[in-house]
Amino acid sequence: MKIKDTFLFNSLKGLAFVGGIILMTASCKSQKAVADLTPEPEPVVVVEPEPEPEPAPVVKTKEPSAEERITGSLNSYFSGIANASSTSAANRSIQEALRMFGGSDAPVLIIFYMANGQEDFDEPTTIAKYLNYLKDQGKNPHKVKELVLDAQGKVKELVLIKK
Amino acid sequence: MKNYITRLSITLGIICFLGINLSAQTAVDPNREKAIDSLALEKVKDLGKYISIIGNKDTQFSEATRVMGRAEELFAAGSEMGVSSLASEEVEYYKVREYFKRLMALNYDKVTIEWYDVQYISDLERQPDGKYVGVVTVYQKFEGKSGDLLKYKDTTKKDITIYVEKKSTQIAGRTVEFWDVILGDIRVSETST
Repeated sequence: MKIKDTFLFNSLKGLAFVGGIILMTASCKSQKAVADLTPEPEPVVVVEPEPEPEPAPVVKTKEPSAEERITGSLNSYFSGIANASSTSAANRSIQEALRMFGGSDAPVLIIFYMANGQEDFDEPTTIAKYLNYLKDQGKNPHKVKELVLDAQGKVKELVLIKK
Repeated sequence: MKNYITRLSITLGIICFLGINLSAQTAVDPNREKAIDSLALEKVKDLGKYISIIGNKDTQFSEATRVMGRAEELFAAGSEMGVSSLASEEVEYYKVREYFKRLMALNYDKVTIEWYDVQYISDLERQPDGKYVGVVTVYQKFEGKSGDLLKYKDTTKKDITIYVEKKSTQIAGRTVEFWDVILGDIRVSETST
């Protein structure tokens, strides 16, 4: 009976051992399955700081020269005087324009034809007469071609050309 | 005989050479001549505008006087202006300054003068001395009103002799050559209503 008990006991012990091993294995598998279901951590994306935009190249607008500024103003005065709404309005513009000159008798040369480097001039006049001509005739047939400034930056000679 | 033919050939050669040379000297760029034509025509149109300003009763005395000066500068010294009327067949001639003064003093409340159809009837022709002479014709429409009443109206055809010559002047110490356009007498060729 003792032997039987011992045999039975050993058999049970062996069964228990095998069962334990199975349980442990199963536990490990289920743990692994659980571990498999756990989402893998997302890869860390290293956000590199955007490079600072390069400053736009500063386009330096060329400052117009004194001659260019005066040329623009004079052409504008010519048009204003020729198209003035009244004689008094034209006279006011003439007075303003004359302030740009060293004197009202500054010479004005007018080129009416140019070819092969040769220039043909109309009879020379003065700036006061020329501005009054624009007023009287109500037309603006010329534009500034060249001008000469004095030491004070006033126009002392003007060359016009037919448009 | 052989000697004669040789001398004749040499003479003809010289004549041909001189002819070609002279023609080259007188040849002028046609575009340049056209520009000179336009310049002269423009002066006549300018005169038409000056006459309109002088005659206009709305023009201030100081302005009219200044414009008279500018208009007078367009003429050769001693030039005359013809004046006609529907009431008379005679054409009277006045020095340009006198004409402008009379125009300014006309006894109307409103005077309208308009020049139109300004064109060459005789093209500018280069003279042997280098000057150009031509004749331009213009039509002048004149209206004189007293109040709103039209008192007088006519249209005259006028012929203007034009002289163009190259001159030179000193500007700021340097010599500048220019084309001087000078108006001569203005003759009345037709007067109509």
